[in-house]
Amino acid sequence: MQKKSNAFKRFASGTGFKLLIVLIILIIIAVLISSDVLKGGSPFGKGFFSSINLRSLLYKLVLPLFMLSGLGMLLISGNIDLSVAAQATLCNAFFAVMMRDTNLPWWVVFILGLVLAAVIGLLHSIMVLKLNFPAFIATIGMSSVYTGIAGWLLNLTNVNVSDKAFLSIAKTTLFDLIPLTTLVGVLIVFICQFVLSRTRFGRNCFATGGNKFASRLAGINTNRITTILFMVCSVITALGGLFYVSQTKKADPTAVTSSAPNMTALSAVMLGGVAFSGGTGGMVGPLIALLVMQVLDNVLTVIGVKPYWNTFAVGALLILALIMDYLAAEKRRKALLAAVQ
Amino acid sequence: MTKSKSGGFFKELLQKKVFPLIILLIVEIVVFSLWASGIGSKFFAITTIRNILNNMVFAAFLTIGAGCLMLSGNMDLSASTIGAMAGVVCAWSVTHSVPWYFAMLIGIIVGILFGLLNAFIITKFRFPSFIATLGMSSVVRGLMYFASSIGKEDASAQNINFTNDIMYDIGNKKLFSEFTILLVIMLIIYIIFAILVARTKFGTKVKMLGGNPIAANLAGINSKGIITLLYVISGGMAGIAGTLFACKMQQGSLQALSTAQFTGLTGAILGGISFGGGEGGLGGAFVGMLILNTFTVGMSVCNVNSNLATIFNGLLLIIALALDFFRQARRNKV
Repeated sequence: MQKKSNAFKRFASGTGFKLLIVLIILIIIAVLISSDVLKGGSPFGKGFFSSINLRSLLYKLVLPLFMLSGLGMLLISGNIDLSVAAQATLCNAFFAVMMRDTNLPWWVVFILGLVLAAVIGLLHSIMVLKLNFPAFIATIGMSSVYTGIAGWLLNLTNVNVSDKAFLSIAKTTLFDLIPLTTLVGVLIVFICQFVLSRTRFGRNCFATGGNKFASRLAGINTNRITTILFMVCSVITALGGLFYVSQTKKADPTAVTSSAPNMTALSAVMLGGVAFSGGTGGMVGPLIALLVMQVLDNVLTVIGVKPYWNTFAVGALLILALIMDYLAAEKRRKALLAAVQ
Repeated sequence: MTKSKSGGFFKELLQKKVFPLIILLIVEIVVFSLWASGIGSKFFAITTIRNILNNMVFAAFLTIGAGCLMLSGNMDLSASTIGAMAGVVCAWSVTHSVPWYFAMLIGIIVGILFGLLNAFIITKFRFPSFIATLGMSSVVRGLMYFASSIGKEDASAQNINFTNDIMYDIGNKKLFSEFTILLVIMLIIYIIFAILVARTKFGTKVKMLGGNPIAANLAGINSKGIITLLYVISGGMAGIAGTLFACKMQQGSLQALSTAQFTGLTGAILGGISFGGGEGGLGGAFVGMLILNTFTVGMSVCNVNSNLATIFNGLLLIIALALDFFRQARRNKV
């Protein structure tokens, strides 16, 4: 019991809790404005809580959601991969072309796609660890390599996927509302959170991100951790990408990269309390941050403002969150100073 | 005596980060020349050089700001958006019968103001610059769309077209029959800043700040002042680039400069400005941009398939990184 209340206290003082409050306020505002509640009707019929709107919100979530977990863990361990959107494009292209040109069952091709992603992750870790490339720029470079290969595979047109069993993945829903793909994504976030907070591997991730040299001296195999995290990041991303193919029924050479889900995911990760330099944070904060960003976007669309205010709001939200963070830190510092005096 | 000195100079050059890049640039030119002559067109020509240089004008302006900031360990991801905003404001002013010099001035001032705002939130609230400027770029983009819709009946965001002969001349007229005025302006400003960074106290302070911010603070460097100044420079350069782009296109474009930011940043990193700051200079960044643009132009001269061009573009970055790796490995062995 004691332990439980401690865990709650820790959550309540963290970034995740603040974001959760913002999320709830956002949803309340959205419901008040967009549905018939104020006229005495039910909140579920139309507007934010209508099933069409919720479903579109959840489907839109898939790509950034899957990138979120991998990127978050990489960032915590002090690395970054900016090529995830291009990786997803490449795996999608590979999947669609294999489905068109071979007679393999869909799940074999699916697994091959994930293996391809794992190889990509391995390649990135070799670049960063053995060749000492800065991850930031090496992955930017590889990102255009993958985009180019995907464009070549697809011949720069959409390739349709028509396998019924594969397409049914995206159609499967819980309670006729929550797509299976989103559920899997959220589940992965929680698994990552569990690994980070409850296992030795997770602790070593934080140590690697906090101080690589000290961790190595302390006997942590930092190279192994970095390799695993790069591979995990790529595989989770590819999984999200393949689910996206299942949703859209085609592999598109530009759609994934042009909507920049990696930037959305990266913003959410940092908004959710993971420091850019690594070593701190968790996965629940980023998840809620992503929800806040997507709900805000959705709310503004439902209300019907001009679309450019969405862009404005996302940026303003980021800056607001940073200011709140600063004020909280300042308050703590003042309290500490007062206690000392 | 002179011989040993020149040997020393050569050795020093070998040690420099720029050296493998110059080799890469030369290799690139040779390969493209051979390739182009193989398929019957010409790479090594004055038009090619002109295209390469003209292509990089806007990216170079952004690189001045981005390079200085990166040297100090900071970053500005909002520069291209600020530039586009400046262009839109400039175009809007011209269409509302503001004189052209005043409109351009307003555009540049808009850039400087957003630079100040960036500096304010980063120094005052101690934001990580990467995420703060990422947020700012969304904010500015939203405001830009809004600004471009002011005065339209349907309030929709659109590019603002205008015609002004003097501005057209500034953006398109050529000096010495080949090179544009824009290019000359860019080169002059770029050289001034390159010298400022490499040879003055200010430049040393900037690099110290990037190398070790705590030590720099203890050494009595006014870090907040310098960072503010650097963001103002970055914003101002973005403002200049944006207004000049508007002059060239006769349009306040909502998509202006969007690729220039990426080229500028990768050029700077390619040119040896390390990501954490403290190392490198604007000269290297210029060579980095030359490599990138020579490559793009060479690809189009040789009629390379666009997918392959994208792949090679990425591989080029990887090759540059690999060269740097071998250089460092050799130095470590010695």
